[in-house]
Amino acid sequence: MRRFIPGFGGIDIASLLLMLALQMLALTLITLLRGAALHPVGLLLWAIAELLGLLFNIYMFSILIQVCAQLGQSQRL
Amino acid sequence: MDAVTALSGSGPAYFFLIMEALEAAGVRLGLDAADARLLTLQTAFGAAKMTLESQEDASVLRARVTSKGGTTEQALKVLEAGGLAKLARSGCGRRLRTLAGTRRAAGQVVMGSSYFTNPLEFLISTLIGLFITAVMLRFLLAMVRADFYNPLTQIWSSSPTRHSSHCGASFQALVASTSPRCC
Repeated sequence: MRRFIPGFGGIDIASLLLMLALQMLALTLITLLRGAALHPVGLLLWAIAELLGLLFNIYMFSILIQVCAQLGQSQRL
Repeated sequence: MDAVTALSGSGPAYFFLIMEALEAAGVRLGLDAADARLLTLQTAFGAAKMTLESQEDASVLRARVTSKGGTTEQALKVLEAGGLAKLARSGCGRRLRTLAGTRRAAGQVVMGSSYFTNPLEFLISTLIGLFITAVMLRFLLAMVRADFYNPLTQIWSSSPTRHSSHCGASFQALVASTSPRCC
């Protein structure tokens, strides 16, 4: 996929688009299961919000892992 | 709760309909509109007041104001033949069903209800969510130019020596140095 969509300024646009498309697919399926249709713009905004939420989660957990690793390192020294 | 709404919430409208019909009937029988209105209002008020003040059931009161073989009895027979009681029951029942349906629909639309209510939905969101997480981790690690070569996942797919020379070496060294005491 990187072959078709070039990276830009050190940011991998291809995987960004892949994440966005997957998130939108998931949200579409879920809303269809609940018997409601969603406007494409709303879907896009919702997908972006979900991805940002995921980003914050990853940030939080990486801090936890960092603390854990530092703890292990300090004990060894 | 829906039953209360069907009876009491919509109930005044039922009585207004009956009053409207009585008023129209009075006008058709030759009364003028103001008189028909006043008579209907006072009749409805009187009936409601009687029911409120009396300890008896509505059916007993009805029997009391109905003289045997009189005109009231004849009129009530006509109403019964038209199926008034049945109509009221089915009207309340329909209102109840509509309310229940509305409530179900509202429950379905509200987001944030437990994902476990719909296993398929849970499956979809979990699988795609996991894949998105993997892609996002790869994206973030590539963006900060981290060394995310994982020797464990590539042991069987390719020869380990090819990768370990380049980016894997530092990671393997890191793993080897931290793993014995790492939490």
